[in-house]
Amino acid sequence: MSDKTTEDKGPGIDGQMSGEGGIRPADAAVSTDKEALAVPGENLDSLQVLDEATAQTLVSVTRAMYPHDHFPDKHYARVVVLLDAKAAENGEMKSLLTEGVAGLPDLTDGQDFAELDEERQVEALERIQDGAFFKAVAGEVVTGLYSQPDVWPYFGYEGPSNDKGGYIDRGFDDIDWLDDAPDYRDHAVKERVGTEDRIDREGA
Amino acid sequence: MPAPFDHNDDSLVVIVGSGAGGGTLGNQLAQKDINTVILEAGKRHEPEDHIDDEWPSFNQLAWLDMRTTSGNWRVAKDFPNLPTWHSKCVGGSPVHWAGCCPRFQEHEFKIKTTYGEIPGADLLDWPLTLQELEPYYDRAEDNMGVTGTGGRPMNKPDNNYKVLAEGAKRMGYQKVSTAHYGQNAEPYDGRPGSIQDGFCFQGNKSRAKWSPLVSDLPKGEKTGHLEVRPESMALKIEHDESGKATGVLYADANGDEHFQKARVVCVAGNSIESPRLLLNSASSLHPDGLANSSGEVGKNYMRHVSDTCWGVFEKPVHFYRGNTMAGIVEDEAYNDPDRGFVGGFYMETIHLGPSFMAAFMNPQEWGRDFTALMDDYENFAGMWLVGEDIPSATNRVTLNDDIKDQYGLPAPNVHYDDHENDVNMRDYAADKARTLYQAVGAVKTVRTPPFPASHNMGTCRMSENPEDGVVDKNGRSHDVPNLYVSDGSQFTTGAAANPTLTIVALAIRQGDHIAEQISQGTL
Repeated sequence: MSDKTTEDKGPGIDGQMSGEGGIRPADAAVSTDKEALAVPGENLDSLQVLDEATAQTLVSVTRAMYPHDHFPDKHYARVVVLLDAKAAENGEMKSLLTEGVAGLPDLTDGQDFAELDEERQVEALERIQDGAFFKAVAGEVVTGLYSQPDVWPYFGYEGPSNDKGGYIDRGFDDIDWLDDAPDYRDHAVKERVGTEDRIDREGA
Repeated sequence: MPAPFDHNDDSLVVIVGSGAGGGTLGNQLAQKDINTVILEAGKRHEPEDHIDDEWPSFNQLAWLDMRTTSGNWRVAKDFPNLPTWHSKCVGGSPVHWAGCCPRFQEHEFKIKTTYGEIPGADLLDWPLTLQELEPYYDRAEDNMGVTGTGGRPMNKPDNNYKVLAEGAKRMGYQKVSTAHYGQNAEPYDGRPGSIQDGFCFQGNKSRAKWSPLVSDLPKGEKTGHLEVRPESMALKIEHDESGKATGVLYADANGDEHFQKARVVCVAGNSIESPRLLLNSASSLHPDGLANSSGEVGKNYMRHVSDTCWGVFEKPVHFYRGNTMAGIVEDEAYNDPDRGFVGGFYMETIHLGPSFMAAFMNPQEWGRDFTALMDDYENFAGMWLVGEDIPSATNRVTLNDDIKDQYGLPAPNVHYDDHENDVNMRDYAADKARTLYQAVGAVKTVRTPPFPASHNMGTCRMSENPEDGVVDKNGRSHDVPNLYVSDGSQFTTGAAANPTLTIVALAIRQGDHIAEQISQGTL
């Protein structure tokens, strides 16, 4: 895919705003330039276009959207740096983020979003979850949070293995509990099915 | 004169696309001393440059040009500009495929005869039978080094497979294995055995996995009769007043246009770009698109019934260690309308890294319910359900009037509505998958709706009669005698099987046919 300059916003996925529909992680991923795909910085006092207060609020917003208690703030700060980079390239994104954050007090009875407990933060976010601001931020978290190599250990994921000879000698078949695994077919299993309550069932 | 070839050399076979169809065909022709140029839209990334990291790899290899979607399929809601995940690179979609290689079954070539009339469907039998294709399946399996065939050993069971196998055993399934798989278990054909690195979808640095990039293309290039021309985006196929194709207009890396003359043109751009190219090649002689007197170009787009089941267990699985899809249960791949649907499906292991899990497991979900699942990542197993979807004339690729790509060409729209049969099969399959994981101790399961998967078939289908399809049993256009379709667009039915093996078999067969026609002077 040819490199795109900031002027070259013609047809192509990165000319599209996520607000048109769904969280579009593919959009977020492909519009990120290659340099930013390396672990982004986490420094919030030297952003390109977002002011520090907005950025700090976005750290709280991103954590409330995707809370992992073991993750230090820096992982969320990096997502905010990615959002800032997008805002620097795209005036619409900048407005979306700035106005989105500025609109949060209307959802929280004037209280500072970052000061609220998670339950109230989530309540506020639920009211805007179908809007462009939420989707732009959530899309960036989905692609930008879980792709940081230093969060992978929290998930027990060992990442690239080719340089280490693959997993053939490093546990690719080491599961040892299957023979004694319980049979839960009579139990009610908790199954999550594609956000049924919010998205129409396919084909119906 | 050996490759590279001149634009004005009209003795060439020109193939659009270097994937399972085009790449295989290019080598087949080169081995028979037929000078061939492959125009590939993407860049050439050698395996050393592949990236074992999901998003960067996706950016490197995926087709990301502008597309739109419509219809009631879930993909249109979650991924409106990404109808499918296929490749834009030398070697095509096999560069990113996992490797499952089931053969079509006999009845899957004749679903109109077998399934009868189905409302809302456009069933047609292939003008080709399993018996006719069998010798080419043999050659395809040898060409690719498919495990478990031709005396080649199977891949060893990995963690994700072991969960599937134990669950399958408890369910009473019998046809369970690490699959006929397009990645070497042991060294073969100058390529090493798998080191189970877990990044099949991200290219394959080790070259254990077959793709034209590491196999057919270098072999063809060595003969001097094959030129692979990357960053060459086909824009239009031209023809003369007699209706014969004369060559392909294409854009190079700078966007400059060139015309490559051709004696024969073969279209192998995967099932969205192939019909798009034909539609964009409309002329006064072919007002509805080149080779489209039947009106069938773009229609009957098939993508398989697709669903994913993740099982969450009480102990670690480490399912990301190992081949991405070397595990299969074949027991449900038969036809029995008493199950509530026609056609069948396979259950195949699949794993994703945290990056893709977060994006695709449950799009649009957020909050603690979501993060609690992600936190269990180490204890995940996963399987992908792939089944036969029903061809329907309204599931189709058309051109957008007002949305264009970076070359100024109308962007394609992919319209897809699930047929009732698809929904019934998918629900049944999801139920079986969940039960299988429960049988081996899953405490939670996640049902992932269809995402941009990689099986695309049917948009230039084979037919006996010219009114019913686009090409004949050799993939040759009914309308244009020196125009062929060489990729999965030819498929008259989708079957339950992953398509790559069948695409390769058809390409080998088409190579024999084209060579014979050329030597007889009829091409």
